[in-house]
Amino acid sequence: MDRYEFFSNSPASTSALGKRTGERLAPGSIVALTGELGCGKTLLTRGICAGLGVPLRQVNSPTFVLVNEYRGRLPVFHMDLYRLGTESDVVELGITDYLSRAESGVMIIEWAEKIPSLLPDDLLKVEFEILSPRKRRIVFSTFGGRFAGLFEELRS
Amino acid sequence: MIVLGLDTSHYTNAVGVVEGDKVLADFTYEAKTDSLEQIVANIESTLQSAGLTLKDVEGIGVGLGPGSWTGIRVGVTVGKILAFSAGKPVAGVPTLEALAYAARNESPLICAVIGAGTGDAVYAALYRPENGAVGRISEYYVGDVKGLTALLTGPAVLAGNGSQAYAGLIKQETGMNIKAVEALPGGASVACLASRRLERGEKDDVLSLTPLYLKESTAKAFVNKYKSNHA
Amino acid sequence: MLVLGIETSCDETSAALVVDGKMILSSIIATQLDLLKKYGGVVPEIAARRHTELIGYVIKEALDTAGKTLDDIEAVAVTSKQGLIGCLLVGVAAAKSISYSKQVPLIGVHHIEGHIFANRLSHPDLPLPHVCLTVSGGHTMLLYVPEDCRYELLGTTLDDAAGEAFDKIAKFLGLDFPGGPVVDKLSRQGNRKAYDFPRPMTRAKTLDFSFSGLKTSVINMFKDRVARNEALPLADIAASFQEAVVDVLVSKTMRAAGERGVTAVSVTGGVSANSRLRHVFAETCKQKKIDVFFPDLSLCTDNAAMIAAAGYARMKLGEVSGLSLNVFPNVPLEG
Repeated sequence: MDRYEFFSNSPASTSALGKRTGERLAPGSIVALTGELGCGKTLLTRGICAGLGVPLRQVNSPTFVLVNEYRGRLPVFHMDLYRLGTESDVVELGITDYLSRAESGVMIIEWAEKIPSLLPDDLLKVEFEILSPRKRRIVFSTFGGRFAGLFEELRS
Repeated sequence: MIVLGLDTSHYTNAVGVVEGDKVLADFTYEAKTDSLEQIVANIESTLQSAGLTLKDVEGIGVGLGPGSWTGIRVGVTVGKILAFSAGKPVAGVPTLEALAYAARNESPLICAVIGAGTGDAVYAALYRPENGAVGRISEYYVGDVKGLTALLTGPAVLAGNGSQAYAGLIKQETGMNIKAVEALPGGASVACLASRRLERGEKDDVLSLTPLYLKESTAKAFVNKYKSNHA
Repeated sequence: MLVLGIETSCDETSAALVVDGKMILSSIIATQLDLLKKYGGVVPEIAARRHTELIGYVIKEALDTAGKTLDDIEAVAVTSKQGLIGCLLVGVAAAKSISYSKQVPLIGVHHIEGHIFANRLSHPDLPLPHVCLTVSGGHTMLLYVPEDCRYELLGTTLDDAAGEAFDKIAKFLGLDFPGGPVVDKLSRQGNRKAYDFPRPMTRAKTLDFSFSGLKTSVINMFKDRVARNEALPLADIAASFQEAVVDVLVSKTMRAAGERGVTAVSVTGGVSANSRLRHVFAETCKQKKIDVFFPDLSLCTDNAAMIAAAGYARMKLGEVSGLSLNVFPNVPLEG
C-alpha cells in the first residue's frame, strides 16, 4: 500500500494539492474522497479538475444531480453520493455503467465511504480529517502501482 | 400476429419483427452511449426491411434485462410507451430467457448467462426446451462464475455474451468441461417469446412494466466479488 | 396548440398538458400526486428506477385530468439537457415514443430554460428584457433575458447551489428533509440578526456566487458552541443563515438589474418559494421601482408544465429536435 500524508493550512493549499494531483492522473483513474461535511472534498475536486484542464466554471457540486460530467484533457465524471442510502441503491443507479464509461477518463467520487465494497482496490483513496476551521489532514492511499508516478511527484 | 421485439441490455439495440414463429427481420445495432439516440431509426429500418411500418405492428415485446440498467431503461420505456401510444399490448421477456431460447436446439439443458458489471460476477438461470420455446427450471443465480457449477444438474450449454470466457474460467477453477455458445440477445427472440404470451392473452400492464431487477442478490454479488479481492 | 410536457431530469417524474404555452390543463408531479394510493405498489427511492416505473402513470394522469387523449397532442416537449443522464433518458425515451407513434414534433428543452418559463406561465405579461435569478437545489444562475429564448449568463455558483446549502445546513442541524421549507418555517421564529454569517462574494466585482464558505461558517460556529457547551438556538441559527443567503441573492440580482438597466426581475426555481426571499425582493424592488415576479408556488420546483411552455416557445422559433434527440447531462443554456 502506498500512502502519503499532507497537511493543508488553507483552502488555497487544498486546491493546489488538487491541481498537482489532476495533472498526474491517467485514464481509468478512480479517486474516492471521504470526510465530513465542509472538509474540502469539492474544493480538492475543483483543484483536480483544474489540473485536468477542465474550465472551472463547469465544475460545481453534483449533490443534487448525483453526477456531473466535464471535459478536460480527459472526460471527468464527478459523482456525489451524499444523497444516496444503501449500496444497493448505488448499484441500481447504474454505477457499473458509469465505471465502464469512466475507463477512458477520470472518475472522482465524493462521499465514497457510502460504497466501501463496490470499488476496485487500485483506486486513489483520499481521506480528509478536519483539525481546525482552516486546517486539514489529507491522506492519499492506494494499492497497486497505478498511481506510483503521482505519489513520487507528491513526495518530491 | 406481427410482433416487434426490443432488447437494449447489452450495449446494443436489438430489434426484431416476427409473425408467429416466423422471423421477418432481426438486427443488432451497436449502441454503446447512443442507444436512445438511435432507437427510433433502428426500429424504423428494421420494420422497413420487412416491408412494414409501425402501424402494422400488433404487439410489442421488451427485453427486461438484467444487464446494463441504463440501456434497459431505454428499451423498456420505449417499448411500453410505444405500446401505450399505439394502443397495442406489451409483454416483457427476461433477457436470460431470450438467450436460452436462441440456444434451444443446442442442448436439453441451457444455462443462460449475463455479465453483472465488472469482474466475474454473473446473472444466470437454467432452462429446458419445451413446446418450441424454453422453460426456466432454476432460481435466478447472481454470483461468481465458478459458483455456476452448482446450478448445473446435468451437462449443459452456456449461452450468452462472454460465455466462452466463462466456460474457460469454469474449466480452470473446477475442471468441468462445458460447451459455450457466444450470443447477444436478439430482438427476434424477444419478439417470438412475447408473441407466444400475447397469443395466449397474457399481456403485461403497459404502465407498470419495469426492468427485471434481481435486487438483493445484486449488491451481494458485488460485495462477494470485492471480498475475494481483499482475501 | 396542445403540448405534452415531460420532465424527468432529477427527482421528480412529471407530465403536463399546456395550451399555447400559457394555459395549463393539467400538471402532474409524481411525488405530489398520491399515485401510490391510486395504483398501488411501492415507489423505489432511486430516481432513475423510479422514473421508469412512474412515467407511464404521470402521462396517463396528465391526459385524464385534462380530459384529453394522445391523439389530441400536437407536440411533445421534454427535458433533454441538464440533469442526471439515467433520469433524462427515461423522459426522452417516453417522449420520443409518443412523437414517433403519433407523428408529432418533438422538442428537447434545457432544464434551466424550463425554470425561466415557469415564471412566464404564472405571469404572461412578464416584460422583456429582464434579469432572471434561477435558484434551486441544483442551480444558482443569474441571467440577462433580452428576448424570448435569448440568454446571457451573468453569474453562476462556483461551488454549492443555494438550495443545496439550505439542505446541507438543515441536515447538519438535524432538521427534516427537504431543508429549504423547513429552514424557512423555523426561521420565522428566529432572530435573523443573532449571528452575522459572512455574505460570500458580495463585495467582489463578479456576479458569481459561492455558498460553501457560508456553509462551513455555520458548521464551524456550531461545532465551536458545542465544544464550549453553549446553547444552540436552532431558530436563530436558521434565520441568520437564511438571511445571509437571501442577502447575497438579492444584492447580486439587484446589481445585475442596475447594470443592465432593466425594470423587471424574475426569480424562479425551488428556492424562489422561500418566503423571506420573496419578502426581501419585494421590498427592495419596490424601493428601486422595479417589478419583481415569482412563479406560483406549484411551479417553483421541477415540473413539466414549464417544460411544455419552453418547448412551445422554441417551436415557435422553428427549433424542433427530431427523433434522434439525445440527452446532455451537463451543457450550458444556449440562446
